[in-house]
Amino acid sequence: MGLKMKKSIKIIATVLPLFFSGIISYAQLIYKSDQFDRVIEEKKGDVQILEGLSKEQLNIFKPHITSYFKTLEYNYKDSLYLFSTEINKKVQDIAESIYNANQDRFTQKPFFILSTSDQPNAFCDFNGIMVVNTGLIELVDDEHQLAFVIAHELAHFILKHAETSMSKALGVLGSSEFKGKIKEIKRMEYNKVKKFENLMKDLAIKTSSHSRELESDADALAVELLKNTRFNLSKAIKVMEVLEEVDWFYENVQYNLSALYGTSEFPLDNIFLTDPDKGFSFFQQQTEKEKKLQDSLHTHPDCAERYKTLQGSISNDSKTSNEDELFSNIKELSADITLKRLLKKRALAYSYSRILYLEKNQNWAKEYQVYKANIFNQFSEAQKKHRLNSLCPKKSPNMPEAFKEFVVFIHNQSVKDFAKHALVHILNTPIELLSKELADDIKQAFEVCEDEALKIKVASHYKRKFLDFNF
Amino acid sequence: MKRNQLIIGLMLFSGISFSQKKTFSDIRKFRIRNTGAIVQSGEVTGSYIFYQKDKVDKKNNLYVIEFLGPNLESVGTKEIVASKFENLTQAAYDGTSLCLRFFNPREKTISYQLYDNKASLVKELKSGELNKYALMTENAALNQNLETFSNFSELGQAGGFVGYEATKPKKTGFDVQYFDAKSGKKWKYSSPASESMHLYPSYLCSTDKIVYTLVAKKKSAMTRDIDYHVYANRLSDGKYMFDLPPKDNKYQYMYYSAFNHPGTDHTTFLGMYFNLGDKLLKAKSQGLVMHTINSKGEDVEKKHVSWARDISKLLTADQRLKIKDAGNMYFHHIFRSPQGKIYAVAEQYKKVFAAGASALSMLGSGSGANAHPSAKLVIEDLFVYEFSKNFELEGVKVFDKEKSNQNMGPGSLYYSSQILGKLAKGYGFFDYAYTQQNKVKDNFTVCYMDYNKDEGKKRKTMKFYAATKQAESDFVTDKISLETDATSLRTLRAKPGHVVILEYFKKEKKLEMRLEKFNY
Repeated sequence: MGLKMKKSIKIIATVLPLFFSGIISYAQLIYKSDQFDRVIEEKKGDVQILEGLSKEQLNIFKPHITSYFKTLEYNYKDSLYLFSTEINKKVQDIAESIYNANQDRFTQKPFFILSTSDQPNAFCDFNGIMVVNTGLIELVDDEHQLAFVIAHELAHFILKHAETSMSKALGVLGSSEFKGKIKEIKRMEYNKVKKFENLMKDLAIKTSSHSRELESDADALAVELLKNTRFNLSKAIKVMEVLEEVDWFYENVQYNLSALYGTSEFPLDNIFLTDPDKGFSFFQQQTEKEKKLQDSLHTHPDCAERYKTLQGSISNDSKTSNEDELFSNIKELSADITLKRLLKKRALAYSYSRILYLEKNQNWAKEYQVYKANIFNQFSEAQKKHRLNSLCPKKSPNMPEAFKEFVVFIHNQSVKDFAKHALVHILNTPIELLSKELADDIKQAFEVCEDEALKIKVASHYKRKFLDFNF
Repeated sequence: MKRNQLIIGLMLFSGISFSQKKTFSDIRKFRIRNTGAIVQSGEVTGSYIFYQKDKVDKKNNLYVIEFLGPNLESVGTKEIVASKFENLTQAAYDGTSLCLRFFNPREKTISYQLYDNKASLVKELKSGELNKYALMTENAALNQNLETFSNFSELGQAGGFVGYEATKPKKTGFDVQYFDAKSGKKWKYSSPASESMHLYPSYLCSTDKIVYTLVAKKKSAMTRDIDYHVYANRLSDGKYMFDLPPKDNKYQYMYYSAFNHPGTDHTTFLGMYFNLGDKLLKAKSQGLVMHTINSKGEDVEKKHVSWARDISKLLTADQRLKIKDAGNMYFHHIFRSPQGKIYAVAEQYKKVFAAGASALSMLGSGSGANAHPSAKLVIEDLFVYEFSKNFELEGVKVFDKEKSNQNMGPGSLYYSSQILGKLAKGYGFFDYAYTQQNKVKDNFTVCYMDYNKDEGKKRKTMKFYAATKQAESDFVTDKISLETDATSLRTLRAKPGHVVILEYFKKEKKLEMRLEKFNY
């Protein structure tokens, strides 16, 4: 079953033209919120999950809690969280619909944060802080699917699954049996590490199987939470199909390197596409026990299985929503924000993949052409300083094939090849998108490139917009 | 970022790591020498890391061998129980099986473990107790992290592996072991018991029918009189076929390397030549030789390039000033490039009197009567000589480096420059690292280190240099900073055009590896 991302070209809603015309620029997005500061301070001072714990138990869990809050604060300072956009309004609207329809189930009102992370992820912590990523929003088809994800996370919060997990962990870690085993291992002179490893593996198996039950319970409660809302359950549970194929960026992107990189200015050399690595196929077969252990360590059961279970538990839902049309604009805005975050964090290979995907499917993504020149210029600078690996991963066995070919292509380039590609991208950039800032950005490529004819062409291209321009 | 178990999330996608480094944590006991490249057909195809995980009993430990692919991706892990004195010294891959070579300095043995592609052990071979010379050589290689130790190799397309040992009760002589997991073939050749000369073997090359071994022969362990023979053993059963003589009616020879001519039964040996009667460990060479033979050991061609007659006149005045006499060049490698040209890589050094060390030695010995003056080797620049396919000198490239001074120890002043050069190589005093050929990109890279030798542990100025030569262009040199706070650092040969840098942080019990690509 593959992910069906039927994308019809929609009429651009009011927000996007403003965005791309520069009226709303990326820099104008709001990353600060007094409410966030206030809420986090309140939550830090009142961590209910630690109430009633003994000193020994606090010693185990308090450092984790402290570390968690530090992560939230770090992400906030790093401008990972976004406030006051149309996306925030949509997420808030969905979440409040669910909350208002089920108030009696909640002990406190959750606090919602929108994160610009590319991970297709959302979570709700033990404090009622709920984080939804733009990487998730751009993935789902409609508001019903997003509502299911939010409802699922709120279900965990209502059912106090964090407390349950912690109690279980404490029950095991604090049991006399476990403590006895640890003491015994400490006393051993030999085979200490192996014994400790086996003990931890058993613990992991126990806790992970328990997690599967919690996920099923959260699914079931999510269905209940959505029943009295405007969201269509039949449409909502289809999010399981979507999440089944989460690596869609890599597998569904058509890199088509020969077409993209074979130009008259820079013909594609087959050596760029050749994987130079010898096949070193030496591997260790897993024992049956190890395979079982690896399966059992997945904390979430198979999405396909969950979808079947959910289908069986609901009747056909005919609810409709007039928000469906507008949701596509939210998705597009999310895709754009996510991409720009990735570019800012210099996850360039991944950004480039997203650009290719968006360009193929969205008319409005033509502006992203300018980023390509910049990306290749950054590759050139990075390779010169031996830092290319931080911008583009090396080929690895678990990568989808198409992405593997792409990273092989990138790593086959030299400093000068990257520079040349950057300049060819400039030539392919429509004049209206050229800017002096872009010229500044790709200066290094211009200096490094040894193809004088190409440089003259690029300079002429620029002069068509900026008459007196010189690199 | 580690997920806190208290945060229940819909974590469904684990993104690809963009980390520049591969990190191994919680490595309790690790010796940086127990890492290396996995070689296949002369090219690096992966790496291995060998470290202790657990104590099993009084005598044995549980070790982990991590196998990494050419991009440092994990391809497999093997746990083995072995003696606590065991060291994994080399690994090679012949296309179907992986062979690990171990050295146990306590038991004084070499052992080989052969694994198939499913990491199942198919064969284990163990030598007898090594004799004094072999033990000394193994310990030196271990302590100096020497990678180019040619006592073990895979045989490329022919398949299988050879290993050389010298075991008791032999005081002289050696054994060659061959084994191939695919065919199951195995043989052992022992040099004749009647052989009175001391023999020191090292692998040169092989064809699909013959294994060639360079054998240094001396009358006694202490003599400086040495000859270099080339033994040919039949690959099918190890039978001794012939011995390439070390001299002809004009010169005597010392070979460094060899290569085959595909489609023929010819093999060419590259090395230096000396006047007849010269003591090779003392005399200066007269020049370079290229000697081609067929599978019967018959001469096909022999060409000589003389320092005085041929090379000197082609040097610039500057280069001639630098190369006062070619005898103080230590030749690290002589090879044929992908384009068919011949290159010789050498490092210049001078022997000088180490006044300070000698004075200390004299003072320490009281009256001075038993004082042993020391020599100091001043290691200087790196030279690469370029020859055409027909072995005519075409050019010399000099790579300037920081000079380094290496004290050779009490009594070393009495040794010849040539012996001191060999000792310096054994101790790892030279800056040359290795030469790497890239058949896909049709170039080769000469790698060396350079840094301010008086500097301390932080190695702020340490850099790894990679000089790459493409056909018809000059060398392009790239440098990679090795500045680090690591407890120990090692560079490893990697896949063509790359180097692996290993840093071990003892306090944090962490090993970091990164793969760097050369720019050219």
